Amino acid sequence: MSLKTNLPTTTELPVASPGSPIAAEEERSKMQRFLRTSLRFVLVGLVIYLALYIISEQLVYNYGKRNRFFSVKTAPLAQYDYVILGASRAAALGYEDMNQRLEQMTNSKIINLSELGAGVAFNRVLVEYFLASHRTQAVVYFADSFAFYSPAWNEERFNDSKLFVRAPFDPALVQVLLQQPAGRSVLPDYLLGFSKINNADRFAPDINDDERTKFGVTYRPVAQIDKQRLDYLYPKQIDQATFQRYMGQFEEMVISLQARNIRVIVMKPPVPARFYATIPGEAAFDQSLKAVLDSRNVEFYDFSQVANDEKFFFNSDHLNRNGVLNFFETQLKGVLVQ
Amino acid sequence: MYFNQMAVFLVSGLWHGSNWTFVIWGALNGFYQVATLLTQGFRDKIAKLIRLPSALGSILGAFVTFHLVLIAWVFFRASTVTDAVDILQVMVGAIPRLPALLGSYPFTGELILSFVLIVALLVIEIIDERCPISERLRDKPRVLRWGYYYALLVCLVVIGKWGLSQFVYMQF
Repeated sequence: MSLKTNLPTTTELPVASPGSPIAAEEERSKMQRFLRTSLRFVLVGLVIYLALYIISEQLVYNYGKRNRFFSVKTAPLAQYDYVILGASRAAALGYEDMNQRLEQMTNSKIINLSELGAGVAFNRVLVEYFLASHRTQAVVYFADSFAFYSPAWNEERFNDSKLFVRAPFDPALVQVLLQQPAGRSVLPDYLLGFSKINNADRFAPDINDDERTKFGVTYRPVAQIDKQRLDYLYPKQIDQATFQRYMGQFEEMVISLQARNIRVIVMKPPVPARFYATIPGEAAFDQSLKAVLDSRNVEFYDFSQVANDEKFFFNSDHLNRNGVLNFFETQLKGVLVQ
Repeated sequence: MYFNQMAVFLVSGLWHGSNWTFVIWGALNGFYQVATLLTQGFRDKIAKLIRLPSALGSILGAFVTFHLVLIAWVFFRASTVTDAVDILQVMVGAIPRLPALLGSYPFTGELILSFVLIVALLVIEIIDERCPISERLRDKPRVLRWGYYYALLVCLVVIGKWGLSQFVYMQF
C-alpha cells in the first residue's frame, strides 16, 4: 500500500457537522471577522472622505470669489451701510469692480448678496445668514416680478448644488438653513460637503459667464431671444396662490428686517422698454407690491423705465458695464447718499 | 443574408421612434454591416498586397468604424433629417480648418483630465481582459486591495458626474 493511499484526503479530514457547536462557533467567528473587517474598511473610508472634505474646504477659500455665502463668510467688516438683495439684474450691479465704485460714489460700505434666479426664499436665507454675524443700516431689495411667480426661483432654487459648492462650512449657516423651511432640503449636502468635493470647477474662480464674457458688450435685440428669455422667466399663467405666498414671504422679511431697525428700500431695476412691454402681469404686480410697501412704510423707487436705453444692456434685460455706471450715477447714488 | 441584415437594422431603427432620423440611423448601421461582409475578401487581399501589419489594420479598422458610427449617431440625435444634414455639412466644412480650430481650442484642465481618464480606462480594460483585476487582487496584501477599492471610490466622489443630463440613449 502506498503512502499516498494511507493518508486521508482533504475530503476525509474531520469537519464539524452542520448544526454542531463547533460549526456554530466557526460561523460566529467568521461573521465577527467579516464585521470587524467591514468596520475597518468603513472607518478608513471615512478618514479619506474627511481628508477630501478638508482639501475641498481649503480650495473654496483659495478660489472662492463671487459665491454669496463665501462673500458673507469672508466679509471684512462687521458693519455695513447697505446690503443689496435681488436676482440677476441686481447681481450685475456687483460685477467686476462695480461694487467698489458704488462704495466710492456713495462713501458707504456695501455688500451685494443678489443671486442669479433668486427669489424671496433664497434672498431671505442670504440676509439672515449675513445678519447672523454682521450688521447693516439698510437693505436695498431689487424686486423682479418673475421671482414671485414660481417655486423654481424660490424653494426649488436650493436644489442647485452650484450655489453651495463655494459655501464655506459655517455653523451659523447650518442654523439659518435649519430655521428657513426652504433651506432644509440642502442641509444634508451642505453638511456632507459632497457637492464641494465633487465640484468640477474646483480650481477656477467662481465668476459666471455673464460677468466674464458679456458684461462689457452691448446687446443687439433679437425678438426670438427676448421671447425665449420671457418664456424662461415667466409662467404661461400666473398662479395667484403662488404669487400671494411669495408676496407674503416678502412682507415677512420686511417686517423681520424692520424689527431689527434695518431700513428697507425696494427698487425695481431698469429693463429695456421693449422688454418691459412684454412682461406679463407687471401692472398687477406693481399694485400688489405697492400695497405691501405702503402698509409697512417702505421706500419704493421704480427704475424699471429709467436709464434703460438699449445700449445699456448686455443681453435682453441685464445692464452692461456702461449701463450699471450710468444707473449708479443718475439714479442709485441719489438714493443711497440720502 | 444581406437582406436580413438590412431588415433587422431598419426595424431596430424604427423601434426607437417613428421618425426618419431613426430609420436612417438603422439603415446606415445595416449598410455598414452589409458593406463589411461584402468587402471582407477584397479588404483582406488589399491588406495582403500592401503587407499591412495586422495591428495597424486593427487600428485603422477601429478608427473607420468609430467615425462611421459617429456619423450615424448624428441622425439618431438630430430632431429632423434636415438638421442632421446641416450638422454633417458644418462638420465636413470644418475639416480644412481643423488645425486652426485645434490651435485655438481652450484645452482646460478638465479636458486633459478626461483624456487621461480615457487612456486609464483603456489600460484597465486591457489588463482586465487578460486576467480579471478581481482575480489579480485576490491574493494580494490587504493594503493593495483596499488601496484599489478606495482609489475607485475617491474617483467616483471627486470626479464622478452626478445628477447631470442623461446619455442620449437613456430615454430608450
